[in-house]
Amino acid sequence: MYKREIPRNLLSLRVGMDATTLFPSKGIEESGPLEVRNPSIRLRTVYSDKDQSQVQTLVQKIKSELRDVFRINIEEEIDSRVTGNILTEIGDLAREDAKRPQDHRPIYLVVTEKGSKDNPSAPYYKIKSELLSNNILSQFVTTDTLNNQRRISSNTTFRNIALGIFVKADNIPWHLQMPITLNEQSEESLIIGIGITSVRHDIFSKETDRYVGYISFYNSRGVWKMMFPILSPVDKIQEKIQQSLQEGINYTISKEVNKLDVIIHYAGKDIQMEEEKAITETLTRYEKDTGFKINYAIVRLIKSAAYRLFSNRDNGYAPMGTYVNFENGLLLINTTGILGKNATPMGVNVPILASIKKTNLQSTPDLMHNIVYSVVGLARINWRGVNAFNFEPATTKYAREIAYIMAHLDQKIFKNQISLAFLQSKLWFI
Amino acid sequence: MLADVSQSMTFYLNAYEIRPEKQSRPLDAFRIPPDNDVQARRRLASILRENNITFHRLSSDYLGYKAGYYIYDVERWSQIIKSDEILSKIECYKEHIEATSYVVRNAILKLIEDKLGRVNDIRKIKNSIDERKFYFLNDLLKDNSSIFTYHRCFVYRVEYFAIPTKKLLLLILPSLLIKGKKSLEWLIKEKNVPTELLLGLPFKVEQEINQEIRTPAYVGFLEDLTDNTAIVRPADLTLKTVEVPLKNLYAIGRIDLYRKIVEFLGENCDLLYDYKGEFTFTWEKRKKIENAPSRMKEEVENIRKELFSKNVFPLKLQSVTYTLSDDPVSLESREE
Repeated sequence: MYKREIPRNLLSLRVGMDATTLFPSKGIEESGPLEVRNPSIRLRTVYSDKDQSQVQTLVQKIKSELRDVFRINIEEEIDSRVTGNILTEIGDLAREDAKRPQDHRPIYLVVTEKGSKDNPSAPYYKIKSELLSNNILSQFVTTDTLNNQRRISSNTTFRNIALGIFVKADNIPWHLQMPITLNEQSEESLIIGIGITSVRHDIFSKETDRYVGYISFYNSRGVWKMMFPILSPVDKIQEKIQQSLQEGINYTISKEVNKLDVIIHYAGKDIQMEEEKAITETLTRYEKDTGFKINYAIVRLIKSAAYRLFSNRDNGYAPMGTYVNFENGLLLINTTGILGKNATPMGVNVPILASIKKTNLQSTPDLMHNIVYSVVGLARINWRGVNAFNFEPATTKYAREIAYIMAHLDQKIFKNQISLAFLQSKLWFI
Repeated sequence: MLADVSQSMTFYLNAYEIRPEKQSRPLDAFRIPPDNDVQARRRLASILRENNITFHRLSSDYLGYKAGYYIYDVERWSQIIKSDEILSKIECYKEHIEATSYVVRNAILKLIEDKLGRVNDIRKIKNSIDERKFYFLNDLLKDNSSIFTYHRCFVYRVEYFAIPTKKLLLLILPSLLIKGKKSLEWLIKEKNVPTELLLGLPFKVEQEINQEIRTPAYVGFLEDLTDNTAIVRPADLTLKTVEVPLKNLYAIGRIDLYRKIVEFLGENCDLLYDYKGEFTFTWEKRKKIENAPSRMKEEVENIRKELFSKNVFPLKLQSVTYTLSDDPVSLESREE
């Protein structure tokens, strides 16, 4: 059992103008985003009558963040004040917008009451899935945010909302300065997040009715490439995982690659030995079929471990990227903590416990180090906000949201090739 | 925040070492392999529970130990199985187990639980395979809220590590337990809280028995109300909602979502926030607690002294006496 640290240069992010930064907000403010692929967007703001006065300020501030920091423009701005039930009215608006060509559909900025995202029936999930059924992306803002004096007086609040719109429009705000690999010989790496959630018939039954989930693909710099949504009957889940994994690898890797590193992150209890076996079988078969060399590591992330890591300096915080190698396949990783002169914004930071479930490489300290970097790196690459401190990697962070949204989607959507392609290629879940 | 560079950096876990006394003899255990039929497995589980037997269950072969139930109450077990028609027929092996080993972890976990169970001012609240959760009965809110009580609480685990030397660690994680004090029935019938403030809120649904299946408490979101029942949507993904008597629903610690209710009751929501911030080491007087980890480390130390060193250790398992270290586990630094 010993402690080690990820070197500082691995925590750096690359933003615009070839600049690097430890703090994304400051980085993009000074140097702009890394890559603007879509410089002009359409935005439809949907809100209730009673929130009208705050919405005007909100839109102005978001516009200025998009223009000055993210360097994109709003080509068409549509104001949709609703007087009745927001879910019904938003459905009507979406159906109208669905008549436009795909690249002319607006992104919806939806202002709603705050509700718990733990609630599978929350309006957030219902509205989001209604919009997705029409191939429309959305960014939510709650009225609590608009009524919170501290939050509306901070640029960060509007920058976070603008970031959500920016990435949904296919743009890249930042990526990791250094690539993630498993070993030195690798030519390319894929970091894959898997989230599977069981849907039971009722709370009293132990039997699973079906599974919902996703397999998401990121490149070695942490840039999101695509996601396969999964909706599967119980007896087909392993088959579904195998099929999505194989298609995802085919789609995301470069043609000329011969040696590939695959790091798989998953969290939660619904992936068990059978599913792990299905994953390794797919990778082994892929290796045989293509003649590639694939190095892999399957890592389970435990987010609510009872461990905490303290230091005797900096008020007790340990630096971001510090980890404990327990030398039994377990790693305790400080994804947040102290960074530069700043510490995690609130409270005691919670480290992530990573358990190496399967690998075809020797379990050396360097392999563990590289796996730690995949976890810390993907936590740095979270595009939900501009804050430098994200506890959870992007690979597993959205598991609940994706599952709850998918549980509301009409199952027919998974048979419609256009809708499916949309769900696979857009960052709708962020 | 400026780092104090005058001292070298040392790292600690929220853990203490559990040490058997030097030259301890190995422990005796019966090992029952896991591959018994359903009837025998059920009987085994029920006898272990009913007789409060000290054991560790290993689901698959690990670190040189074979899968099975490792039973440390050897004499009692010999007596029990003699008179049990089913258990007397199952395979059972006598083993010698090192005092510091993987398969002794949960036996120690349980012995600690038994001793903590005898301490007056704490109660057990959670019992999972590898960890236990206890809380202090004292209400930190001192009756300043009619729907919540706040309690210091902690989770503990026993962990085993083999490298570089074999070690058993006691992990202590302190936190705050927020309990619902009054039911939804009370909120509606006694306090006339309007339905629109309640719909969509999360509640703890107390244990229920439905079609003879006992369901542990779960969190559900209020979707609808009738005179005496609530329709709740479980937080776990399920297809169906559940009908629950109003008296079975209690508020949970999401103070942010309960603000309107607290204000309707004419109580001080900021006070609830302040206490929550302080006891979760997050904020104090509306400001971030800058030394949150140091404060938590102090609380870990307090719980060790107050409870574990005073009431639990030294701990005896057969002829082996275990003691608890005074200092938390510090980590060797290795930079390659």
